[in-house]
Amino acid sequence: MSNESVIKVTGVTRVFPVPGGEFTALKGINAEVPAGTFAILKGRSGSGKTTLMNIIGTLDDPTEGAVYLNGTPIKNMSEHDRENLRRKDCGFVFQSVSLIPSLNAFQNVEFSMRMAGIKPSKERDKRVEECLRMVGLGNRMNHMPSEMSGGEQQRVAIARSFAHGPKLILADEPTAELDSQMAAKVTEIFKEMTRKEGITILMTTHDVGLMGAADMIIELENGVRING
Amino acid sequence: MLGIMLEKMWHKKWMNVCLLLGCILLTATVVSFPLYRNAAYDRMINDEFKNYISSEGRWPTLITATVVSRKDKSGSTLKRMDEFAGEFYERLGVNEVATFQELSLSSTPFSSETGRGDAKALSIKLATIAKMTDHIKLLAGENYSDKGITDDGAIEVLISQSCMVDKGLLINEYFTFDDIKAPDGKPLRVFIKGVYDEADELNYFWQISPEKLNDTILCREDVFRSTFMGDNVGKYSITSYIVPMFNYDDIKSGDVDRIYNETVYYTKESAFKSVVKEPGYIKIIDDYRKKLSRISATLIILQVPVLAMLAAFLFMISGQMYEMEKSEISVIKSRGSSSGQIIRLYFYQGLVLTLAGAVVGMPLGALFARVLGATRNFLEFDFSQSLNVSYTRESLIYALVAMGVCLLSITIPSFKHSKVTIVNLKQSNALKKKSWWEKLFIDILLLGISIYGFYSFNKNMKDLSGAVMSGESLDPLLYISSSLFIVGAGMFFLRIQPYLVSLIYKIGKKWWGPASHVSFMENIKNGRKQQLIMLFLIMTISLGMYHATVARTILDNAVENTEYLDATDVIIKEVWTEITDRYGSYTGDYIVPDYSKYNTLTAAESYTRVLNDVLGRVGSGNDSIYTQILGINTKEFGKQTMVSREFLKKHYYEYLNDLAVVEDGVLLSSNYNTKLGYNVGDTIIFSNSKKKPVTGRIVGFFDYFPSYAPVENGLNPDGTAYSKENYLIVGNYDFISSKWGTFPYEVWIQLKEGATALDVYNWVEEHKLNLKKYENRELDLQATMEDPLLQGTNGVLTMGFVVTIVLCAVGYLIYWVMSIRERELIFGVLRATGFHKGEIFHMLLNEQVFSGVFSILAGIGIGKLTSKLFVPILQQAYSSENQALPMRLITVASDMYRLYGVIAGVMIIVLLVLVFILFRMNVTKALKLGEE
Repeated sequence: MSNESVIKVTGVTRVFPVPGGEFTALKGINAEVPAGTFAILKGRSGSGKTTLMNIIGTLDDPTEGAVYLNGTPIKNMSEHDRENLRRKDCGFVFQSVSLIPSLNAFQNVEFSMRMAGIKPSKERDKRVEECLRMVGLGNRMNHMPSEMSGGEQQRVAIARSFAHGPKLILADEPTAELDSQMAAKVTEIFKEMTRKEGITILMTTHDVGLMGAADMIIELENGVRING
Repeated sequence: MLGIMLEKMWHKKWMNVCLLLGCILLTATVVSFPLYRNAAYDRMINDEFKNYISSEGRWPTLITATVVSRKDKSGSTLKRMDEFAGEFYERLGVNEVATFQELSLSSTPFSSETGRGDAKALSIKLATIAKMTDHIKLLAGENYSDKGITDDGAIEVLISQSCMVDKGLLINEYFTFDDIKAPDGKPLRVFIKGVYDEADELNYFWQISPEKLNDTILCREDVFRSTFMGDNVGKYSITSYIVPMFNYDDIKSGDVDRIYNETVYYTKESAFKSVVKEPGYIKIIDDYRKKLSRISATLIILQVPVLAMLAAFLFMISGQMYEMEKSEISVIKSRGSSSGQIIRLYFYQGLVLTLAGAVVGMPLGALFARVLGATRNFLEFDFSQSLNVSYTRESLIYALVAMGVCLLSITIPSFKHSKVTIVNLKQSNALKKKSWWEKLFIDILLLGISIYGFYSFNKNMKDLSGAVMSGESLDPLLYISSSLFIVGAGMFFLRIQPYLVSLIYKIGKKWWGPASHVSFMENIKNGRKQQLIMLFLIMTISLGMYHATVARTILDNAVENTEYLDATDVIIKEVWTEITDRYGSYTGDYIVPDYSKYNTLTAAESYTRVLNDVLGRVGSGNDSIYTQILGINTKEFGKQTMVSREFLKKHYYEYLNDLAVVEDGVLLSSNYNTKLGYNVGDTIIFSNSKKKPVTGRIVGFFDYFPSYAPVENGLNPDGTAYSKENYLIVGNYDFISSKWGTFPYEVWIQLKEGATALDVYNWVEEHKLNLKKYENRELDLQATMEDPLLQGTNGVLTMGFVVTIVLCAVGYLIYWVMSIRERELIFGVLRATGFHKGEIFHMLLNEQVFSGVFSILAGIGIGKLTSKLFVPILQQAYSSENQALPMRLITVASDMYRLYGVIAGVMIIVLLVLVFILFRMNVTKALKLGEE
């Protein structure tokens, strides 16, 4: 299983209709990310990385080309199957803070496990503690999002993204709103997770300082892959 | 600034539409109240006059003046009298319908020129009635000629039929007055030209009916004036009887005081005070004013909660708007705007909305007033009888006040928010904090006050009904304590609602899916944000339920009471002629009218004779008491009367059966047992008003019997209330009449399906019966149901409910749209992480249940509780002197269904809108993940 690609993208093109014509966001992208890889999707703002992330995350469909997750083509999946895929096999980290404000750190993390249908609650509780400790928040489990800093919230979001044991984590600019020290820390956590849990991580960033941590870099420019 | 404001308004157009709606509704509601009140009072005073006509058969708005000019006076008195009517109309500001004026000489001997033997020693009044020819028909002979004098110089006169018969006059006959001289000095001659009767028209011109003019012959007015007045004034004593009659249709409530005061001026101060009689309408106006003070106080107090809720609504919406605009305000501030500029910005916005609200609200208010007037019961309308609504100065003042309130409640929150900066905006995200009122225990305080009110009113129920009857306006605490109770209980529910949700969460912890889980958490942590809208919902529903119950209970009790007291459809009692002995004193025997004629009364389903003597006596000397005595044919009587089982210890028919099987048996009101110590099996001696005794054997005691009021409440002359025990004895007709001999009986009539009391009345007319008593239940019921106090109460309560439910729906919707908008990002995140749309909907539905459904259930519960506690007290305020039956709390399922239907409809609309918003929501857009 480990040599198989978790993500396989072949000839993906995405065209958006815009007033007065069309805008091609992605042009014939090919990429393959093997299991347990920490991959960085690199590119300037407007290079098409978010579009590619959305397509890989089954939130959007390519105009042309195909995407395979764990070898399964997503093209013909129903909306419901995609949703199940997202809640069970994927974890998401977003650029802006995305915790549920009425739940504390612990509950936010636990919630992703509930969604993935993980029972019983005892097992959940143990896992949540473990995950929060991994992101260095073992002592802030009962804090509400509003009582935490942006970096802490983002770390809770990361803990949430892998607590339910997904195969793939998609992180869209998770470090954009963090200072460089915190960004390095977050990247470190991702790196650690690929080692410890064998999770595949695809993270977008334009921060050149973080590239060193990556196992693999996919670089986009104007919707075209320019490396590999 | 104007540009910024308009741009801002356009940007938040839906919020502004809601604010505008609030302004419109507030203005319309506020304006509708004085409009309705005035229109209702107009109708009320009109009804009072109409009722007078139907009960007295006389024109209500007239005044009579009589003056006799002495022979030695110069005639100035008569001249003044001629001016009286015109002056009177003008001074009172009323419109003349007719002026009846009779000028007459005193009765003077006259004789027939033919020398007929049977026409000797006659004495007659020569008179004239102004404009009479417009109101007569000729039975024989001819009308006056143009000159009014025959060619041979005799004065032409018309006579009534009664005059012709009583005085034995003949048409075309000449008569001579020896004591009255014509202008030429010769004895005055008259010529009988014709016989008249009043024209067949329904007017009240004939203030002295032709029948009563049996000693009067009438000549033309100009002939009378030229012959006896003018140059000849002072030779004869002339009586001027003048009755100005004015129209009451166009009398508005606002005219009443003027008419009253000017009339009092005429009877007490003017030069006419000695010749003018106090007119009957003074009493009508007195009655009207007494009712008015009670009604207006009631209506005003009932309106207060509605108005308060309207203002709270505006305040809430505008507060929410600032909540949304906080960030914009902080941006404007950081660009250097002063607080004053921000306040001004909102002030202008408020001004625009308020003015627009008034433009639409004023005509809408008139429509509301018409709807109020068409209300028959809670949420029940009858538009067949519409109310004439017109703007008054009072309504304009109300409109201005409403606009002021709108403007204030839109502007005031900006004072608070003008201080907002980005810094303290971020700090205000604190959760799970108790509201200020929870810390201050406002809910407990309100409950305390209302329960105090409940107990003190309950204890003083008697004083209350006394106060009501004497026309005092009621203690506002009476009305307010029920509203306070609702608010207090609603807040108390809000206090415990989070615990309730937690409890449900804990009970089902194992089974909750992710969607339920997150909605529980959301409500437990964030639920307090919704308290205001929930309180609104609770209050609307519980007030609605309470008001529906109040309206239904008051109306149904009043109707039931009238039905019970009237006992049957129609009761008539003929005048019986008492036989005198040869010395002219009454024998106590009567000429018995024919009873078999009732067979021809086809409108009757059944009829029965009832002996009814209200002045019977039991006991002797100082210990004797007055009692009412009824003699009935149990079988016939039972057919047409009924008393509801719940007022009696056993079925009404069982009582009648008990009586039927014992010939000399009597049923007694239960106070004979409780107050006087009689028991079943005892004998009791009672006598009628003619002192004829009967000994009866007691077969039972009843609490209620058709037409029997156990306690009579009323007012002493000094204004204090009294209540008096009434006693009733019911015996068998045959037995009692055998002891009393002939005694005038009443005939109780049950009408056939479709027949009306009018049919009976026509039958009475047809048989030329003289009635001593005529009781018509149909009419009494109509009067009960059209009582302006009841109608006004129902109108205001219904209006209030409709307005508040609309506001509630709008407020609720705004709250939820905002709540969803606020969380759009979170929903996007949830969707991205694989939440199904259905789960999001499920989550929102749960939240609706926790806030909306919980509030509705709480509202229903609180409404029921409030009705149980406070309706019996409030009833006192509406009870009349003749309340006989105990009042019961009445809820009719259909009332509640109507209420629930409205609520359900509103909730469904709200849900549909939410679903619509939800399905339009785009995940990637919400997450701002897509390409810019």
